[in-house]
Amino acid sequence: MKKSGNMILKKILHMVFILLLLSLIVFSFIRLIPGDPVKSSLGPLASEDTIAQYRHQLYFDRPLLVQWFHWLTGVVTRGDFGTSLYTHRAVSLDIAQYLPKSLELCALAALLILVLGVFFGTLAALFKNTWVDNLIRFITYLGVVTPAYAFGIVFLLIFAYGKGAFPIGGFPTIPAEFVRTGAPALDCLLSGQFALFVKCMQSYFLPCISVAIGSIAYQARIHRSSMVENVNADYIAFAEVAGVSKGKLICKHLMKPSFIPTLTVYGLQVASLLGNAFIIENIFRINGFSQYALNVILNKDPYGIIAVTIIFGIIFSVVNMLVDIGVAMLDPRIRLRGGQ
Amino acid sequence: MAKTHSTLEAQQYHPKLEMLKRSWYKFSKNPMSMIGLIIVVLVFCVTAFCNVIAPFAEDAGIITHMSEAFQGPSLKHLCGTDDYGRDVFSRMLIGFRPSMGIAAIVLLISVPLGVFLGLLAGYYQGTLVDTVITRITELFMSVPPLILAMVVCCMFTNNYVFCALGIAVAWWPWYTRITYNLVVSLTNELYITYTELSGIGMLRIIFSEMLPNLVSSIITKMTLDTGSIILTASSMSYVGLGVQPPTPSLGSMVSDGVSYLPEYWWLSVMPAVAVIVIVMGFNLLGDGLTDVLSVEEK
Repeated sequence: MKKSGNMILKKILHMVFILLLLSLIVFSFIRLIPGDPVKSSLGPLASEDTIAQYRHQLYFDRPLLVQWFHWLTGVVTRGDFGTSLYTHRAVSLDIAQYLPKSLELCALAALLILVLGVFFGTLAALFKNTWVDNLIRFITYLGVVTPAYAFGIVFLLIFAYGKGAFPIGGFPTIPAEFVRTGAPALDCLLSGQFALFVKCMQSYFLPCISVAIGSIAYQARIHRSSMVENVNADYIAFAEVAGVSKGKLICKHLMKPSFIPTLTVYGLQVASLLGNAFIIENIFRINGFSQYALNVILNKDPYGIIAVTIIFGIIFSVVNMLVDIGVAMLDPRIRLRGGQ
Repeated sequence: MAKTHSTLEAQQYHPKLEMLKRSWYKFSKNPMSMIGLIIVVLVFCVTAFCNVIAPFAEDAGIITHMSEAFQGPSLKHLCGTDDYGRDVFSRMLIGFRPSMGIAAIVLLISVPLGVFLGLLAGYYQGTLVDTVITRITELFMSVPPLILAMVVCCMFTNNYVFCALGIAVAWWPWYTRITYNLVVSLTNELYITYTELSGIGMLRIIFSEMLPNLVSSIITKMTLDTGSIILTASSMSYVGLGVQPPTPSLGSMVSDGVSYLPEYWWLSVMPAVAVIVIVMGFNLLGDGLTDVLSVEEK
C-alpha cells in the first residue's frame, strides 16, 4: 500500500512539473505573437500613454520570467488567471461561467465512451466471428473514420425536424436560485429538481453521443482485440479446466487483464473528446468553454490562451494520471515495481 | 564460392524481391486492403490532376452563377450547386489538394523530427539525453492535439501552412514515442550488442542497424496517420482555421452548408462523405499493411 501511495505522489509531482513547464512555454509563445495584442485590444484610437500604462498593468513590459512568476503567484494564491484583452473581464470569471457546463458534457461523454466501448467490445469478443461481431466491426469502422461534425450534422438532420424527445440547441433555463455550480444537470440534482434534471439530460443526449461516438467505436475495437487475445491465454484454459464457472471466468479472469490496453488508450480518447467538443458545441450551439476557448484563440487574447491551454492541460493530465493509476492497480507487475 | 554466387545470380533469386512478392500476395488476398489501396490511389490522382478532372474547375475561386444556385444533384452537377451556384463536386475535388498538402507537410516535419529524437533517446536510454527528450515529449503531449494545433495556427497567421505547422507541433511526439519504444526493445537484441562490441560507431548503429528495422512500423503508422491528419485538418477548417475562402476545403464546405440544412442537404453531406471515404481509404490501407508486416515479422 505504501508503494502505491508513493507512486501516486510521484505521479502528482510529475504532473505539476509538466504543467509548470507548459505554462512557461505558452508564455514564451505568447511573446512571439506577431503584432501587439495590447495595442489591438485598445483599438486604433488609444494614445501611446494609455497603451504603455495598460501594458505595464498587464506585466507585458517586464521580462518573461517576471511576468510568468507574477501570473503563477496570482493563479496559486488567488485563482486569478489575469485579465482578458478580449472580454476585458477577469479570465477566471469567464472560466467559472463557461467551464462547468462543458466539463459536465465531457464527463458524461467520457463515461459513455468507457461504458459503451467496453460493452460493445465485450459483446463482439464473446460472439467472435458471428454476425454480431461483424456488425459491430462494421459500425465501429465507420465510427472511427467519420469526423465528429458529420455525426453532429446527421443527428441534427434526424432529430431537429422530428420534434422528438431530444431537443437540440441549448438547455432548459435553470432558475437563478438553483444555480450553485453552473453545471445545469448537477445543479438540478443538488436542488432536487428531478423533472428539470431529466430535461437537462435530454438536452445533453445528442451532443454527448456526437462527441463520444468516434471514441466509443475506437474503444470497442481495442477492447475486442485485447479480449480476443486473452481468451487464448494459458491461464484462461487453466481456469476453465479447474472448473471456474463461465460467468466468473468472463467477469473476473478475462475482464481484468483485458482492461489494461483499454484503459491505456482511454486517455487518448479523452484528448480527442476535448478536441471534438470544440466542433460539437459549435454545431449544437452550446455556449460553453470550447466556444469561449475558440473565441479567445481566434482573438489572440494572451491571458485567455494561457488559461485555456493550462486548463485543457490540467484536465488531460489528471485523466492520464488516473488512467496510469488504474492500469497499475490492474497490473500487479507495474504496481509492485512502484510505477516505474 | 564464386561459382555458387554466379549460379544464384543465374537463377535470378532476390530474397528481398521474393519477400515483397509474398507480402503483396498476402495483401492482395484481403479485399478490404485492396479497396483501401484503390481509394488511396484515386485520392492521389485527384489531388494531382484535380484541375483537369473537375468539370467546373473555375468554380474554386470567386465566381457566381446566381441563376444556378441551390440546384440538387443532377448529371450536370453531380453533387448539386451551392449558394453562389458553384459546382459542389468540382469544389470538393479541388478541396482534396489542401487536405493532402497539409497531411504531407505534417508528415514531412513530424516523422523525421520525431523519429530522430526517438532514436537518440532510445540509444542513450537512462542518460540525461533520454530524460530531456522524454520530458519535452510529455510536455507537448500534455495538451490535446487539436487544441495545441489551433493555438499554434492562430498565434501566427491563419492560413493552411500554419495550420499544417500547428498540427505538426502536436504530432511529432507520437513518432518519438513509438520510435523510442521500438529502439528500447531492439537494444536487447544480440546483433546490436555484437555491433557495439565490434567497435562500430553510434551513428552507424542507429542509422544502418536500427532504423531499417523500424521502417515498416513507421510506414504503417504514417498511412494510418494520414487519415487522422486529414480528419484533424478538416475539423480545424470546420471552425475556420486553415485554408481561407474562397479556396474550398472539405471541412469549411461542410460548415458553410450547415446553415442551409435540411433543404439543401447536399452542401454539407457530400463533402462530409468525401472526408469519410478518404479517411476510410487510408485506414483500410494502413490496417492491411499492419496485417502483412506483422505476419512477416512473426
